[in-house]
Amino acid sequence: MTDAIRSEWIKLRSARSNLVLLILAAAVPIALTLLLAFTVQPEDLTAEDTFGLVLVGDYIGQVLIGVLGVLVIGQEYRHTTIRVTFTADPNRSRVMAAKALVVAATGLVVGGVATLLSYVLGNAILTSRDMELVLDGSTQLRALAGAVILFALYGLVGLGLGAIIRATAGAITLLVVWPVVVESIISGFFPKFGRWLPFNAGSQLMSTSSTFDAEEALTPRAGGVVFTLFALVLLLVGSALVIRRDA
Amino acid sequence: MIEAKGLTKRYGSVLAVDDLTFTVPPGRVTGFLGPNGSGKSTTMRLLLQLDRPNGGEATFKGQSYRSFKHPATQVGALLDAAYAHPSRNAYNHLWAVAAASKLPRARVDEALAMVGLTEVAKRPVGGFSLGMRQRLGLATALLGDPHTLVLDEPANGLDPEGIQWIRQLLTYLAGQGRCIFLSSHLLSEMALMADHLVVIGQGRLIADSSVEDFVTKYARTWVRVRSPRMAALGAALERQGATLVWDGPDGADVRGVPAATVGDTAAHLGIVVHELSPQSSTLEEAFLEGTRAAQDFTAGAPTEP
Repeated sequence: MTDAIRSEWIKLRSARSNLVLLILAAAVPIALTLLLAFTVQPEDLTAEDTFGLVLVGDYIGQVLIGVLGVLVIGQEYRHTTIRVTFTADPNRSRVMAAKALVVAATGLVVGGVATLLSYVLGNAILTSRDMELVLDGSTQLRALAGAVILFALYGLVGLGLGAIIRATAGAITLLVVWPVVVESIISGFFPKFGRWLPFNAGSQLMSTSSTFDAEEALTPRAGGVVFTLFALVLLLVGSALVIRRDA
Repeated sequence: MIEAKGLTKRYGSVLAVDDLTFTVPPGRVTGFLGPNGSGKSTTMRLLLQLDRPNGGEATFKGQSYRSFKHPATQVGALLDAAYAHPSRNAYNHLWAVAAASKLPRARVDEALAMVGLTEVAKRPVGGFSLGMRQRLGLATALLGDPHTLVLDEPANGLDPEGIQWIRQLLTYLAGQGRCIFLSSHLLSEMALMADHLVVIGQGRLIADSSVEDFVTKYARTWVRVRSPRMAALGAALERQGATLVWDGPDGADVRGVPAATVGDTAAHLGIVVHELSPQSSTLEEAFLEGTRAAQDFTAGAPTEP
């Protein structure tokens, strides 16, 4: 297994598009935090809103790690290097597990850097502008940790989608359009049902609220479980297809 | 030793590989020959268990490919030189394979040196010529110092110097007792590199024989004859079952009888002969002749009652 993980890590960091994604996934959230922290006006902002400023960029970073997850498998099919990969290691479930671990670990590191720097820089700037960046009790730590975990989960969702669809462009489009368009529309009309949709549920992990209206949203814990299960199901289905199909 | 037993692969209604059985012994270069689209590449993917056969099985030294813990140390494969990520450099391309196969990084440098790519090792593969990609593919195949090599069109894109090089390399590797199985759609190229041939057409086995036997069996031979009394000689030869293709009044290509018969007949009749030379079709023509049977059968089958 360690051999498979090393091999996947070498492949991930030796393709230029992957490196660009990694840098963007960390840099865009930080840049957005800086921009917002410098320009926001304190009027009308609740504590939750203010804290949300340092997390809003993470959404973009998470989607970018999702795209990375798609590429980790999609590029292999696109350039047919999947045949080189499976010739070197015919144990396809091991290869898929190694890819999942590498993507998830990369997501945690990139998400950690993005979130931590966003928080530290955002805090420094907002405090110097006489605003406070603080949430009640455990909510603050949960929102920050949840944001980091979502980077890893988005990566796994991307990997699963990429394995199922194989066509990189299609998988990326789905990954971007589904949460923003489809889930938002459904939730707008049917909030009771919409709260169970995977990306909505997952976003509860980094919610800045500490109380939840059970009619409209899941708790962070329940939401996290739903999104994690969603990611695992996609991964399992994707892996099963990769194992079954001709390479 | 590669053994394929009854390999069959169907894509929809197309039978790409049809009950293919053959053996590739160690210690020599075995050529896998067939026209484009005859199922060579599919067969090779079936050997490596990249594609799932609809029937049959393939083994290396009695073991299936998937049973190897680190296949690169047993079987080296080059399926297509294009299988590389364009922005990844040659070194990292090999390193990823080496890591998956638990091979030390030193093997990457050795493999690069073996194929002459050391100087371009850090350049993205996207900028490589087809010849350089072939060398990278060969380096991948040789990485684990395997006892068996499966190479799909390895000479494709190489210049004459490169073909000479790969020929010497493969002969050398076979001399060490390794099992070498390489495909080509060009018999002339194969005749230079292989000792033995496995020939397929339309996914079916046509021949499993030495290059010489294959050529003897499928090459057409005739005798070029020139004589001032060609008409009389021709008539005598035709009585002995020969067919003549006339080339002017005093020359003809005589088919169906050996050169000795032509000479004997001429001497018997006291006819002067100006030219008497045995001819044979080229390797390429023999190959086309050999594979045509399979194609005709398939093409003709639906019209038969």
